[in-house]
Parts: sequence; structure tokens; C-alpha cells
Amino acid sequence: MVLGHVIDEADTISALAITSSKLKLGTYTILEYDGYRVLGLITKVSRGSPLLNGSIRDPDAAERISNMRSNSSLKFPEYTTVRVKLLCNLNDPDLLQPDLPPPPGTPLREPTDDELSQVFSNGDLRLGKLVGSDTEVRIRLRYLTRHLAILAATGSGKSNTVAVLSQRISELGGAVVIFDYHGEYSTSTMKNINPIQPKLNPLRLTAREFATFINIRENAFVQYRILRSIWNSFKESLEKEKKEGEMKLPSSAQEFVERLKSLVETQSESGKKGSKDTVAEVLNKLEDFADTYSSIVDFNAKDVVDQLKLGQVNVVDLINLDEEAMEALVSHYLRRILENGKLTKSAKLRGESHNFFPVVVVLEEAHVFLPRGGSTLVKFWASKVAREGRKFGVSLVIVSQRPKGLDDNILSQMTNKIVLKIVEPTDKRYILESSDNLSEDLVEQLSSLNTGQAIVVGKIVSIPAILQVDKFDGILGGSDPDILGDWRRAREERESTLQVGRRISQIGDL
Amino acid sequence: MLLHISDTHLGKREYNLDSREEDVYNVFEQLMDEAIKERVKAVIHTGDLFDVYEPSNRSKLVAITALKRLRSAEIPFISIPGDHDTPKRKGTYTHKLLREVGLLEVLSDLKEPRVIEDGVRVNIFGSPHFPTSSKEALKDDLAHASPREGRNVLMLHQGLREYLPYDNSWQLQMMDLPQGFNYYALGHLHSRKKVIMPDGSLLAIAGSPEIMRREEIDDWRRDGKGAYLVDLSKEEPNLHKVDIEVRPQQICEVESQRLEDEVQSLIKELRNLPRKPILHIILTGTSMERAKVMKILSRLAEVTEHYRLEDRTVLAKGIRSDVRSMGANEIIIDYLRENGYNQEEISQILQLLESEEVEEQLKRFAGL
Repeated sequence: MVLGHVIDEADTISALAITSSKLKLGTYTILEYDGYRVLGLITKVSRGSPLLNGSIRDPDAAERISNMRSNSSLKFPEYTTVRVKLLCNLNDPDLLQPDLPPPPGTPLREPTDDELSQVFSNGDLRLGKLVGSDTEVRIRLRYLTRHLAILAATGSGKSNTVAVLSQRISELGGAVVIFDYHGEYSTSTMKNINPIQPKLNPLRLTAREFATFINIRENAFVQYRILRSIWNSFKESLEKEKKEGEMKLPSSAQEFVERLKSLVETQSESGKKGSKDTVAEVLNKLEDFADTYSSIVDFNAKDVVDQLKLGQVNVVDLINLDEEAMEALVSHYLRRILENGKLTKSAKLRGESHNFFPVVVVLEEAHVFLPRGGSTLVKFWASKVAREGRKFGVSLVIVSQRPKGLDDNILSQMTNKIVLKIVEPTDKRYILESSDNLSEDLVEQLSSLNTGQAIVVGKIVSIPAILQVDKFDGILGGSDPDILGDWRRAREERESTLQVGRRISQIGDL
Repeated sequence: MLLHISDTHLGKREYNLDSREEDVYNVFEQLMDEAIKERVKAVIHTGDLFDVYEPSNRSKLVAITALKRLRSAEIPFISIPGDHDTPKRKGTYTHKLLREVGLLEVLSDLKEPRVIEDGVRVNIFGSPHFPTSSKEALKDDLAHASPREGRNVLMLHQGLREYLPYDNSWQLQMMDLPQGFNYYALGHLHSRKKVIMPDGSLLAIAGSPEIMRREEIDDWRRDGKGAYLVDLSKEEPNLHKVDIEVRPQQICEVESQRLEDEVQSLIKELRNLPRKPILHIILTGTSMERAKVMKILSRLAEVTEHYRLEDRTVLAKGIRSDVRSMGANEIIIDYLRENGYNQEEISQILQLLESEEVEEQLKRFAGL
């Protein structure tokens, strides 16, 4: 069925068409001309009538003409013009943009299901359906190594998107690691969850990492010197114990720090290192370390890379940690994962086998870990993953509801984006500025998306798509709590406690 | 002036000795003497008047005789039942019996104070003991207790977390106490305590007037035993200790090798005491033949009312179990866990243990 015709001058990017049918914003259409079969997206819809154009200055006339419209015996002249964005040429194997504009009079027709599938369903992982149609949107996982940002306002379906994406990657046999900031996923009903204890084994830290955790700044050479030497002698002492056959690993951060402190003291006694003040400073920092990180320090913790499982959603539950501990943990895990990717790659080059696999790392609340301005250890390792991860099979997915709080460098390296509803203008502008593949007209539509609707751009899709993300068929821990119900339950519980308590206390006859 | 007494445990019969039962009666009579001598306006008793909720006729008779003396001196005896006074199943408080014959008054409603005139109007509020499982109800009741014109006294028989921090042994923390009272009269803890609260009010635990358990000996040496005289004529109450003479007790830790010498010198030392003491011998060091130990100790009989032995000597290579500061429940839980019971079984056993029948059985076992 012909929907309308191209009028006016068109170029290779967009065309204007006139139609008498009610074409809706965001629907797809096909234009065939000169051997091209071009998929277009309706990005603007206007309606008008030559009888009631903008030059009318007589209200009575307007009313009389309007009455004509309701009189069915007359055909009232009216039209709809639509702006069609030319997306790609379906006859081109690479689905490139047409290099010839459609001539005037080119008819518009509805696309067939096959035509839409050809464009949107050529990936491996179903994420949802094209808005306003039944066409599946499947993303191409191999391009996920170019990283992904999932951006959205709160409550617009971010966690749902992460859940759908993660679960389906695991179902396809892949490996996902989620840093679960709010404990949403670890308490969800997601299948294939592999919980990872948020523990950090100090034995796997480098001296530099440890220095950062205990807050020794890069320019504090003397402090670093002291730390480095006690760190090494601590490791040596463990090695020695191991050889002698009786090794005692510290059972807590406090004990660990006590042992380090005794090393500081023996070393400063020998008199060669640092003034008293500097030593005291290092001691202070060590003690602070014991307080701050006691929740995550475990000398018996397995390396995170040994805990990751294929075909599973590996969830690191951060909910009980405070910010410093989270920061330490996430940066350390990122480092271990990236290093292992590198090791695997070089082992493969040498013809050896190394049992590690590509990993998709999901970082929730990324604006906390990767803030604009300032440098954090997570940022250092995340940028490294963003730059080098592609080579070593480590993909980064950052999730945030505050795009403008994100580091722009990292955001611009997330070449794939799934953007859900965003209203805040500065957020929108920020996303636009940090994305090469997101056009202004798409960004404009962000405000009008409904919950669960998203714009996907980047290599994971052939062309930008507006889709309805599938609903995760389970319960996420982060869903809004039933606060009224909780209050009611709490009250009932209290009342029954009081009642039972009174009954017990009045058992005797007084 | 009020006399605050508590935890008199009438009928308690330590080591199954008649004399120990009499000791407990004796201090109660001494307390009545003090009340009459000081012409107090009222005696307030903060719980555990009797040792069990269905006391023997002997102990009821002692109570009735003593309270009658108080009545003829026109001194009211205002009381609240403690945990020992509370029926463990459907049953009647002995307090109710004594109230019926007009020998004491019982406070049972925190909204209804007993008012006495002592130069100033004194409102005395009180509540019977609430078990731990009912502590929320108690807190709710306390929240509704509001002080009135004049001086205000609150009588409770509860474990305070500040003094009894073990699981299930406390029901209230100091901050749960309602504000605006001048004197918080507490019972339950057997040691004397006094706390000046930030608003100038006073919290006092009267303690037991006799040494009811060996653990109280240290506190008795330091603080004595007895009652408090409470002067409420000023906004900030004035507390005066009334000490009661109790039968002395002594703990003696002896190395087994030196037992004979120690017993010799103990005999000399104890002979001079005004009353025959209770002596606790803790034997340490290497183990000795039991018969021999008892023979040596038997010489103590003439200078003590009673002596008892705690054998902590080390058997050959056997290791003595460490004495730890734990609640009874913790010890039971540890024991059960070591013997392979799981958490659910343990909690069921604990519930069973808390029931009345088991307590009766245990008492029969212990000859109480």
C-alpha cells in the first residue's frame, strides 16, 4: 500500500513526503527508487490544510470552513507532511546510507517484517522489540568489546535492561560480572547467579595499589619507600614461613596491620628510613586501613578471576561496603580481570593455553566510581579497560543515571549506548557531545520515551533503533519497596508482640 | 523518708541448711526493725519478696509476723512482685494473699500511683516484673507512665542492660526509663548500685540484704548489704545506706600442696569472727585424693557454719574446662553444639529447658 509521496527537494539524509494517511512519529517506511530500497524513519509529522493555512485572519471564515470539514458530503482538502530520515539501503549488503536522494514522487510504503528483521534482527542477543512493531531487536555481541553505556533517569528501566542483557549473555554461554552497588541482582530471582564474595586478598596487591588504599599520595616518596620495604619484607616473611612449613596468615585486617606495624618499628629502629614523623604518618595510615577495610580484607580470598564462571551472571555484592572499600574492591577486580585477559592473550600467542575467557564487566552507578574531574583508582583501571579491553576480551558496561557526572573521556569510549528516558537537558547535551553516532534528532526523542523504551546506537546495532526492552521475568531486589505494606506489617508485628507480651506478663493472678 | 528494700528471697535455703534459711529471715526482720526505728513513711520493696512463687508456710509465717509489726507501726509496705514471685503457670501471686489480709500493697498499674504524704506529696508508681519476652509491652507501659505534681518514684524489678549485658537477661536499658521521675527504685540485681542521672534524678538498685550466691561476696565486701533510706524532701533525692549485718562469707583459693597449712591458719583467723562464716575453698594445683582433702577440711567444721569445696585441680593430663563468663544459655548452647546438635534442635531444647516442668525436675535433683 502506498502511504505517500516524496515532494520538494530531498537529499541523501532526509526527504519530505506528503500523505493522506495518518503516519505516526517513529514508524518505519520504505522508499524504492533507482534500484535502491531505502529504509526511512519518520522523525517529524505535520498536518495542514490549504483552506486553513496560516494566513487566515477571519475567525468566522475559519469557523465556516471548519464546519465544511464535519460535513461528510464534501471532501475537505487536508494533508500530512512527514520528514523521513533515510537510514540505510536494504539492497546494500553493508546496509549503508543511500548515496542518491529519492526523486520527487517516490512512493512510501510500509516495510515488510522481513525488511525490518534484516536490519534489526541480525544480531545474537534479543534485547526487545522495535517500538510499534513486532520486529525483534537483536544486538551483535561481538561489538560489545567496544563497550557500552546504559544511561537513563532513575526508574526508567536501567536495572531491567542490565538484568535482561546479563541473563541473556549468560544463557548464550558468556560470562558477565556485575558490580552490584544496590544489591539488586544478588537478591534477584535471576537464573545462573554466581555470587562472588566481595573480598580482597592483600597478598595479591601490588605495593603501589596498597599505597593508594592506605592513602599514601604519589608524591610522598619517603612514605612510599617505607611502605614498599615493609610490604616486601612482609611478603618475604610469609614466604619464609611457607618454606619452614608453618605459615600463619593474618585472620583480620587488624592482625595484618599489627604485623606490618611491627615491621615498621623494627625497620625504623635500624635507623635508616624516614624521620619519626613520616614513620608515624605511615603507622596512622596503616591503622586507618585496618578500620576502613576490615570488611573486605581476607587473606584466604580466592582471586576474583578464579571465581568467575562461564555461562553465569557473576555478581559482586557491594551493598554492605562503604565507599572506600567499594572503590578498592572494584579497582582491584578490574585490574585482575584485565591482567588475566592480557596473560591469556600472550599465552595464546606463545601457543600455550590459558584458561580464561572474555568477560563483560558491568559497573553500576558508574558516576560514583568514574566521576568527572578528579582521579580515582577505579577510573584509572576503567580507562585502561576502555582503551585496551577490546584486545583482551574485556568489555565494559557502565550504567548511570547521571551522565553529566561521568568522566567524559570514558563515556566517549563507550561507543555503544543504550539510552533510556532522559529529560534533563544538560544530561542530553552531554550525551550528545560525547557520542559520535548519536544525532540531535534522536537525542530530542529521549524525553518522550516511556519506561523501558530505549534508543540503541553503536556497532551493536546496524542502525540506531528505538526499542521496547523486554521485561525481565523475575524479581529484582531494587524494585521500589511496598512502603505502605511494610508499615502495615511492622505495625501488626508490633501489636502482636505487645499483645503476646501482655498475655505472658499477666499469666499470674494478682 | 522511704526505706527501699529488695530481693529478700524469703524461703531461700542455701546448701540445704536450716541456718541459711534462718539467715535470710533474720535480715528481713532486721530491715523491718530499721524501718520502724527510722519511722519511715513507707517501705518500698522492689520484688522477689519470696524465693519461689508458692512459698512454704514457714516463710509465709515469717513474712506475716514481720509485716504485722510494720502495720502496727502504721508503716505501709508497698511492693511489686519480682520474677521469683511470679507464677510460672496459671496461679495466684503470694502478694495477692498478703494484700487480701491487709499486710502489704501491690502496685500493678503504671498509670495509678500510690500517693503518700511525706512533707511533700510522693507519687509511687510501679509495675510487676515483665519477662524478657514481654519487654516491648513493658516499654509501651513505661511510655504511658507520667509523673505528677510532687515527687515521683518508679519501682521496677527488671534486668538493666547496663548491668546484665547477656542475652535474655535484660529487659530495659536506662534510656528506656521514662523521664521526669525523681527516684527510680530497682530490684533484681543483687548488688547495690546508685546512678545519678543527667537530670539530677537518682536510680538505685537496693540489692539483696543477704549474700544469696557466692558471686555476691566481692560486692558485699565492697558495698555491704542492706537497704537505702530515701529522702525526697528536696527535688534531688538524698540516699542513705542502711547496712545490715549478714553472715560473713569468705573465698579461699588454696594450692593443694599447702592445704594443711592454710587450713591451720584459717582456723586461727576465723575463730575471731563474731558469727560463724560460710567458707568457699577453691583447690588448685595438682590433684589430691578426695578423702584426704575432706579429712583435712573437716577440721574447719568447728569454726565455720558451712564450708564447701570447689575442686579446680588438674588431673594428670586432663585439662580443666576454663571458667568463662557466660550466661547459662551460652554454656548450654556450646555444649549442645559440641555434641553435634544443629541450631534448630538447640533452640527447641532451650525452650524446653525454660519450661516449668524442667525447672521442677532440676530442683528435685539439686535437693532444693
